[in-house]
Amino acid sequence: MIELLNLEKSFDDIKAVNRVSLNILDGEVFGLVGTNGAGKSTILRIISGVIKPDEGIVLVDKRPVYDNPEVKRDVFYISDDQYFLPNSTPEEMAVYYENIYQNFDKLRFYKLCSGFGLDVKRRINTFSKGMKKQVSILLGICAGTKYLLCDETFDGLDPVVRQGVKSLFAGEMADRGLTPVIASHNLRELEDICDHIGLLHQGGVILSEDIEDMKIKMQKVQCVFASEEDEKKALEGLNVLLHETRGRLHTITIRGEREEIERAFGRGNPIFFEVLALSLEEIFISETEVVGYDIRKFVLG
Amino acid sequence: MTSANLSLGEKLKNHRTYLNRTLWSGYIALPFLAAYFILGVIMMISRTINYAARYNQSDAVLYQEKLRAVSRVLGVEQFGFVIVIGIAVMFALQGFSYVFDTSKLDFYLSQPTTKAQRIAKNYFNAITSFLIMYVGCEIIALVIAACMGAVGKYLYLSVLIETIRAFNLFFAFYNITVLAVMLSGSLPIAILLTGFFAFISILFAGELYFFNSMFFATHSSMQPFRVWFSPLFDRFGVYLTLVDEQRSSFALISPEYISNVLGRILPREADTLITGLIAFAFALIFAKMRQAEWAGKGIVIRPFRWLVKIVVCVAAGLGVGYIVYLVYETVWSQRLFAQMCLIMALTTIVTGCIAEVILEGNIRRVFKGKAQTIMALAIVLLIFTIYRGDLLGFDSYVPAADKIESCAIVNNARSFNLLNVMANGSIYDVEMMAITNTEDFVKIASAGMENRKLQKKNYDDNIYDSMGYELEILYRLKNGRKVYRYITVPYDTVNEELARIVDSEEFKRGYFDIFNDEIVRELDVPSLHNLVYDSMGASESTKNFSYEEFSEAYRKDILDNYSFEYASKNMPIGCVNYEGNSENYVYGSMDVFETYTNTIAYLKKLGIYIDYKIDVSDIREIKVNNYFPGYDLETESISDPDPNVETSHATYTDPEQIKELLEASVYNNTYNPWFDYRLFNDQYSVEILRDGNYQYSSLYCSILKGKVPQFVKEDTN
Repeated sequence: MIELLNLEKSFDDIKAVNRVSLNILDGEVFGLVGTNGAGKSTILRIISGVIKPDEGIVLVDKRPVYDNPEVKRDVFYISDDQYFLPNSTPEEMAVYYENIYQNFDKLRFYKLCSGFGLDVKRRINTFSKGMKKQVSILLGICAGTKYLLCDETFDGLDPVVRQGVKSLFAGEMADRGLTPVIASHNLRELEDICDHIGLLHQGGVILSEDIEDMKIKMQKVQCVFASEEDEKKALEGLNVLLHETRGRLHTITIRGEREEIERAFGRGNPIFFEVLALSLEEIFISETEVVGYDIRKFVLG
Repeated sequence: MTSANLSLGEKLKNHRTYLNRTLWSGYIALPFLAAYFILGVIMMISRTINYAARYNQSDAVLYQEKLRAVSRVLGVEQFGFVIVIGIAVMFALQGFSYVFDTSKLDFYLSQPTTKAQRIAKNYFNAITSFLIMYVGCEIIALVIAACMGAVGKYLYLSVLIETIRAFNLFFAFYNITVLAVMLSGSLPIAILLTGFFAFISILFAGELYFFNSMFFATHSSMQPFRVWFSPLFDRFGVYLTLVDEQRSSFALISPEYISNVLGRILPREADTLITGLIAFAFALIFAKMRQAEWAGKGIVIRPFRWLVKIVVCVAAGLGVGYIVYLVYETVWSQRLFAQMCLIMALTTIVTGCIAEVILEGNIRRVFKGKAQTIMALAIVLLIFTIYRGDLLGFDSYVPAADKIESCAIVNNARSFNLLNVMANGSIYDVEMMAITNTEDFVKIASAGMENRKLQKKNYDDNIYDSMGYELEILYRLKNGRKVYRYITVPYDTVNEELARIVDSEEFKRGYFDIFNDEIVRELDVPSLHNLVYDSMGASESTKNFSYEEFSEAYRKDILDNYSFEYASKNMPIGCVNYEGNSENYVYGSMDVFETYTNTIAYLKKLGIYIDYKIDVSDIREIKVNNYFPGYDLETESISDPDPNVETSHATYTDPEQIKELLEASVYNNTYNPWFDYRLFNDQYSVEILRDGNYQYSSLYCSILKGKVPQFVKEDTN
């Protein structure tokens, strides 16, 4: 398990990580979601031991990670901007990692490269951006580490490869208990792979929950009321996150369980009432708008 | 199969692959090393063989020449250290440049190693790669040299010493560059900082040395130019010394050679080693402190950045001060110091602005960081004030007599000139003189220091009157320091002290080369030598003499018949010139005073003594030049006359006038360091033209003060 407790990190005057506490359980896919500059990459770099936090504790399986090779043997970090040795080939990178990670499986790497259509003898600097990401992911998977930290790793992968990687993750999790931690702002990608989401904004954690719990605890309702009094009766006591009105049609995002909300709306006797399924993206928008992030200025991937 | 099962061979192969990808600059350096060592040895030996064939050198000489040739490429006189410096800097930049790039940092620092392990691995890779390349090329070159018959045990020793030196130099420069990297956030700044570390001590030492010569009247150019904590200076300085001494003297590769070389290189190698260790310690400290997020910054540690800026500004300010002096040197006056100070201050400020732009990489920062610029300005002005006001007492420094081990007066007019041998310290060494009468010496020095300051002030005011005996002196202090000063000992003031020093045997034995002429005696070959006696324009010579006998007679005269009192009032009557033309050309010129009875007796025995007193009947005419007609320099200062006044001449043939002129004149064709030159009236010069068969028909004399004949004054003014 990876434990972050009151983690803080500043770069000059900028607070990149502000009192972050998270627990990443073994065997689950943890998604680290956040706005640009929220501190996702910084947290991954802290977990992988690249950066030393200013304050707080990072424990990987109850052991501190910074400058601790014993712990780092269990962690493989795929950076957003991958680096490969100058003029190297996938084969040479595998040879390099073979000396670094005791459990690195070179044969499997060759096999996977072949499966993904990557020539292990071709110089990596001649690969496309997506192919380089594939090489990184395969190297990470074959390193045999318990934790695989992926920073924006799925960006730039075509749908087929993406699906293949997801399958690989699933297989690794089942076979040897791999725990992937994936940082991304591509919420649609995370939605169908992650078990647990940590939502970051301006260096702090807005929420950290299982995706299913998250969906259970937040509802989107479309309804039409006969009068304003009915509307007030229905919404009384509810934790409304977003409320939009088009004509007489109300679209309301509310924190709470479905049954509780249905009961409350029963008081208002709406003319039309329907509970809609919330996507992860909508949860993200709702939560960040609550803390002041004006999502309408941006287009999400 | 996982990597836990890798064999040692596979691990080594993998390591080689890693090195190929991370220290590829070795592939650039290797051809240079190979070309220098291997081709260098082949070319130097073949050149030596061709030379020997052309000039019919014996086998023994050829062998020595071959050893020397190989030594120049592989031994302590080699120039390949430039490549070593290049490799060290390249390896350090390549090995540690990952700290400048976030993606590389993520790659390396996320791997299961500690910072210390990573640094140790980089050091190990760099050092082993360097040693394999260097020693590999060296061994191949030595094998080739052996095949060409150009090796010997002392050459091997020289090569071994050089290999250790090369490693020492590599270690120092590698650490300096690593330190620069650890203090930088980008490659260009790291390169600039490496240059800063490499040159800054040389720059400051040079600037302060020049300031000494510029501001201080008693500064001696013999004061060695010392630089500490500079491997670059250590290596270049020793290289130039060795080339100057060993190559010019054709030193044989022998135990003496090794011993001489070790004496030269050890102090500088110690400096290089200490610098390397200090850089290593600081590199480790800053590597430990360094954080990943510093990548991309200028100089990462704020106080150090300030320090660099201040030091650069101060160096620029001082440097410009010296340039101002050089530009105005010929017309230098006291008021120009104010101009110099102003330009130094402006340069410091401008450099502060430029340094800020470079360090921040932002031209808008040009007027930022004022605090450091002001601090640098204050330091520059402080240094200027210290030098201008001599606040540290350079020009009044005279050590206490009890703190001096011994002293020396430097002889700037050596008797002997030994081609190819003159630089090896055998007879040209100031170390030969050790005056232990420090009480008298200190009194002389004190008077000389004060007088020298006055003389410099006079020079600045264009007053060039002779003010005393100009001497370079050396104090050997008990704490090991050697201090040189240039002084002008005033005439008459400390004559008793001077007499006790000059008349002492320890002065004479150190001052006159003849007491250290063992090498001249050794090189003297009777069939190839010549002794000439010159006196009053006449010359006699002989080849039938014993140099040793002459030397003994001359030594005896100096010990028994040379004294300060006599030399201060009399000029030499002649000069003995010795020429030896055997293996090395030797030339010696020794003055003869009238009191040198032993020398004169020996010259008479050889039949070359010229017992000649100039007579009126020999003289055809005397020409007198008056350089300042209309003036009287016996009552006026030499600075008073119009410098553009034309010289007037008068010629005398009347025997009475000639007689009077002869009585008023002194033959002045030689230099006598203790003669009181104030006795001469420099306004006039006398040229005596004689009849008869003289080698030089003209004799040049000076007229004594107060004795200028009235008819001369009337005819030339």
